[in-house]
Amino acid sequence: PEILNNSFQLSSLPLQILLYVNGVYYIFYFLATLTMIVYKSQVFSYPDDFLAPDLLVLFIMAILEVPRLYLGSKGNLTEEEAPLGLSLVLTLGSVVLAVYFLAWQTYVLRADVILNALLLSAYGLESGLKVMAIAAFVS
Amino acid sequence: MSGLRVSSFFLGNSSGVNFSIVLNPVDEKTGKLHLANCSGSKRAGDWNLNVTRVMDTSEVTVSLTRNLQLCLPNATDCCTTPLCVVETLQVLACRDALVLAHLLVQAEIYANSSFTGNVSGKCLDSTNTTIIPNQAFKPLGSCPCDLTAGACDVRCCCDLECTPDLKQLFNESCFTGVFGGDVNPPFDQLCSSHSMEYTPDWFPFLCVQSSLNNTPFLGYFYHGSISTPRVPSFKIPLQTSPGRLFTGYRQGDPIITEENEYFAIPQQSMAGQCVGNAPVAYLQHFDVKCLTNLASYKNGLPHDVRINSGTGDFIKQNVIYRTITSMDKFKTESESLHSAEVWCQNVTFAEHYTFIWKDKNIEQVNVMVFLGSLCDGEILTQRFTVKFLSSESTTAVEPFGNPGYQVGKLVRAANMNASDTFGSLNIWQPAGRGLCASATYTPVLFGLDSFSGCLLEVDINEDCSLLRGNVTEKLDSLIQATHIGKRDNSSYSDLNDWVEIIRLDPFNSDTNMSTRSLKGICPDIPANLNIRIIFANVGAVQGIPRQEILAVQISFSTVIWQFQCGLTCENSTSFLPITASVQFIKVPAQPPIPLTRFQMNYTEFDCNRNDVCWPQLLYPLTRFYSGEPYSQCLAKGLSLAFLVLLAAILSNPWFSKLWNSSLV
Repeated sequence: PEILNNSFQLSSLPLQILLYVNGVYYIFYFLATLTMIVYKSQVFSYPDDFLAPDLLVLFIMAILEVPRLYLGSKGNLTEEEAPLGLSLVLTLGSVVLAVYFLAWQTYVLRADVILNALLLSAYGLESGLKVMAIAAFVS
Repeated sequence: MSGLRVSSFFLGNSSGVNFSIVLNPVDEKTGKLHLANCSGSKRAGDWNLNVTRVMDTSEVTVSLTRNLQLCLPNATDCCTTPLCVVETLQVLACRDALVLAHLLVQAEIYANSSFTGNVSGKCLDSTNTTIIPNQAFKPLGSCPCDLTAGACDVRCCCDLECTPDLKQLFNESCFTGVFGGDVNPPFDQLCSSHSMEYTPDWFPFLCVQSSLNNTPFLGYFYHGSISTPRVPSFKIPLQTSPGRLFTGYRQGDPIITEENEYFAIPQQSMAGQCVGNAPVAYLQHFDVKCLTNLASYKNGLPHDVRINSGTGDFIKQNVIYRTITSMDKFKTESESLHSAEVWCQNVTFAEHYTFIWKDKNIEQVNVMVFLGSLCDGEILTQRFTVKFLSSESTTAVEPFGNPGYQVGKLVRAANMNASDTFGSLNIWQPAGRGLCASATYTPVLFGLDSFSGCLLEVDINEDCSLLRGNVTEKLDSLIQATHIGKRDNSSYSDLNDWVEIIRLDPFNSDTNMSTRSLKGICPDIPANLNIRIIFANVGAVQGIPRQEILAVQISFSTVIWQFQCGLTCENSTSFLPITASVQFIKVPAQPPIPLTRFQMNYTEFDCNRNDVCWPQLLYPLTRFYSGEPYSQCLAKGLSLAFLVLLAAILSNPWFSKLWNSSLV
């Protein structure tokens, strides 16, 4: 912990950087996945009612992402465990949805694989940093 | 190979070669082949060996001779189990006790299953329903070569009924491709497929990584469900010809007799000749004349046949017989056979049927039959008329008071130059051999396009201008009128009721023609008369449209007549067909009101002719425009929508608050 303003700073800088980058990256990821789903729906044939779940999962993921990033950032900056813990739980949910896009989608393109792999790695790193930050805040 | 006989070929010089067959050449315990012994014979057990030698090759045929019927156990000379024969044979080709070649044959033969017993009842198995898998996930025919149920199909490696050791027999020659069971071939967009020569630039990123379970080819077909087997019953349906439920006749329905057959009266077919078994349609009058002679005379339906009245009960025909005294109206004598020994027969000259109907049923049938005698060599014109009278009124069904022409009515013609102003417009009605000398006229009926003609006898030495004059005179005799009535009730005193016939006379250039010294060929003979009548709808009376004739034109078409020679050009006559045709052309009485360019004057979404094309405006929501690639337009539209959305969100003050707080 560094000494700044006469108090120890417990907030984790790498976590904050990662959260910021994640936010920007997620916007790109959302747009790319949406256009790829549109492309797939035109080029390939979907079995009945299989396009709707894919789109739904994407929008759920987008809706989850916003509170997740907000809570994570807030918890890190205000050095509270509760928002950070909630953010960690939401991260787990996002991980499941990212795995859906990586493996259980109807058609998985190679670009899908790349994007989701990056997202999963970001989530993994984030989770690790959040756990460390919670540990720092608690003790 | 399948069957009780297999054959193979022995290639090479087959002189001095002995063929023999050995049963069970394989040792049971070790599984190795016994040492070949050349002392076998051409028969072994139930097996026969036949050799046919053809030059350099010999065809070797092995056949089984035993009874393959399935029967009870403990019986002899038949099969006790379904799997009847499982044997291994070896065919040896030896020369001087030295084995040249050997052929191993493994035989697995099942018993002949033929049905001995009564085939009865229905094939009933409604509980055995086949569940069709959902074609979105599994192709419907996962093994197209599995053609026989319950047995192994040879060379079909995906057949589940094949035991593994059977499959081993034909493992190398399985069917390939979709027929052999590969119903899910890798498609071009898979990352692992290298079949496409041209891969687009973005292919490394947008190739499909997922497994073959979801291919684009699935899911296009029928949407999987349960199919119950059709229950075949052994009842052969009775061949009832009309096959209708009797609820009464509607207009146009055929009239049916007691024996469920069509009630037939000779009528004119489309080709022109009379057919004897043409059914009579309900409420359809007709009046036909048929030519016949004694040789081809056929009796019609006997008059004691009862007719279905429409309610299910049958009515008798009330027949009145009359004999004809003046036979000249009907008969024409062709050859002059006035000898006393002529064979004559009593035939029907005319039949007039009157059906009295009410609603959908026939109440009464009255027939008047005219009989007469027809002798050999005479040609008879039979006349058959059918009239349908309503039981309420006794006059035939006719629209009341419509002054315009109706289809089938006579075209009124008048000759204003003659004193009695009576005119007629006719076309040929040939009889006998079709010669113009014996032809009569039949009047032109409104609305019925007709074409008729006759044959004119022409001498080989005929002068061309004389021939032209003759033909023109004959055709002119059809048109004995100068004016045609506009309406059915045109009166002779009012000239406004009549239209003048426009005549386009043939170009008479016989003065200008160079004298042809060629015999037997004449150009420019006006042998075809064309009558064109133009009519229009000029209103309606009681809902029935009123039709009036607007103009009549008569023109001639010319032909080149050439004398038809036989083997030698003798001085006999040739035939020139002269024809007359009537054509009714309908024109609109008033042109339709022109619509403005903005109105949808053509069908709603016709983009070629309308000025405004709504479907193309709404591209890319509708796919009608093809000037721009769909993907580009979609991308542009989506990005535009996205920018609008972004602008809306960013300009919201709540968003700027959130942004500031999160950047703290």
